[in-house]
Amino acid sequence: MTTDQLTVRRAIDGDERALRQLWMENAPHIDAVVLRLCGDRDLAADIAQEVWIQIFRALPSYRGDSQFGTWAHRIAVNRSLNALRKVRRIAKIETDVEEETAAAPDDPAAESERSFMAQSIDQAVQRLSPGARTVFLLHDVEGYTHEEIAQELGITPGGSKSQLFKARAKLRRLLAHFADGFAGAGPSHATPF
Amino acid sequence: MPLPSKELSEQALDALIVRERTRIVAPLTEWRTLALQLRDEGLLRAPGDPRGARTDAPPQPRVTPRERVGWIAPAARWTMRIAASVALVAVGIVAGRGMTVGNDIAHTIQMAIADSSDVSHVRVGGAPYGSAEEARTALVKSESEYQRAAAYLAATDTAARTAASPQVLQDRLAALDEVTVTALKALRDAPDDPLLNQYYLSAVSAREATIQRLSHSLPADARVVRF
Repeated sequence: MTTDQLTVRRAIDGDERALRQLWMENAPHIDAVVLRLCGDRDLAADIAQEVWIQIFRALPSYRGDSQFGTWAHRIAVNRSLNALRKVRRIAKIETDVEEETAAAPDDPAAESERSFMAQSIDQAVQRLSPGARTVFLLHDVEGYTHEEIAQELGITPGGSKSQLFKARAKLRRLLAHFADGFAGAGPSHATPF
Repeated sequence: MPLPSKELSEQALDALIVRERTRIVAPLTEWRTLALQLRDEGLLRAPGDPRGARTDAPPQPRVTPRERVGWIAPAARWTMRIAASVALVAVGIVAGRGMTVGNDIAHTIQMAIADSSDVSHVRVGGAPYGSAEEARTALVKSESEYQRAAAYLAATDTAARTAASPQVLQDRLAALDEVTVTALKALRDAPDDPLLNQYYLSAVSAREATIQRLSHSLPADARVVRF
């Protein structure tokens, strides 16, 4: 029996040490997932509380087939999406897919996009439409397949692929100034550590 | 002046995504708040209650006393405390190298460590707290206050921000990374140790604040692309 499974068994029994240990070890990762999906820290804090309660409620269903963090991650994503639906942050995803069109060269929105310099990928992601943001995060960051995303969001796999394509294209433009850091410009331009 | 029309390559975007995937944040919730709700739902056993908290739990395997209490030798406990104290002092020193705020925080932390490590100061009989729970509550409250104050200073104290060079901040970040890992390892054996919990949470919060500061301290044409 793994350490994860032993800790979970004690947590199921209501042992505060075990419950707290699970929270302490996994909160930095799980809460990062919640924050990414929500975008807003205050909203994320509320949802993180719900997520953790749900994780602890579901403990008896943890079979130990995967690491606890992986199992909890799935719950965190599902619960966050459900909570976001309640606040209508990702309503009408399918509509977004149809409505989002490539910006024309003289489009004011495109001009605004070019003048925006995202300081991080996290900041750039917040500039995406809710639908594109969710699909991008689920697929590229959280590792979901298009079929899983389609099922989760109630869209088609094709719609998911389309959203991802547009999201990545926009992110590449928003993060264009990072290109120097990846083109061997040296540490005076990019500061890796 | 025309803006560059270039795009980030697919590979470069993938590299940023990998880093985003491994990003961690300071916990968004507080254990105290979470524990209250867990108790309300019957998921957390009340202190001193030997019974299981929930009725839907599967049959429990035999758990040795060592496993049951997260057993750890008393000597090892003190070793962990000392190691954590040393690590935190190191962070304080690094932080203090370039920042007024860092000096203040480091001094406060060092004083706290000095107080906590001197057993002659512990007055159990005349302690200002009525119970361990009361003391723990006070500790959590102070911890939250500390984190909020540190985050506020990191975001608003421009004097400290300009005083810290990127190199000092990078050193600080490296030290905080080590403290975070060390504290997390120690917490696996002693998850309810208040001292270790405080170190861990503070280190994670300070790490995030340092990254923010670093992004402000770099030259205009430089960006933090990896940490």
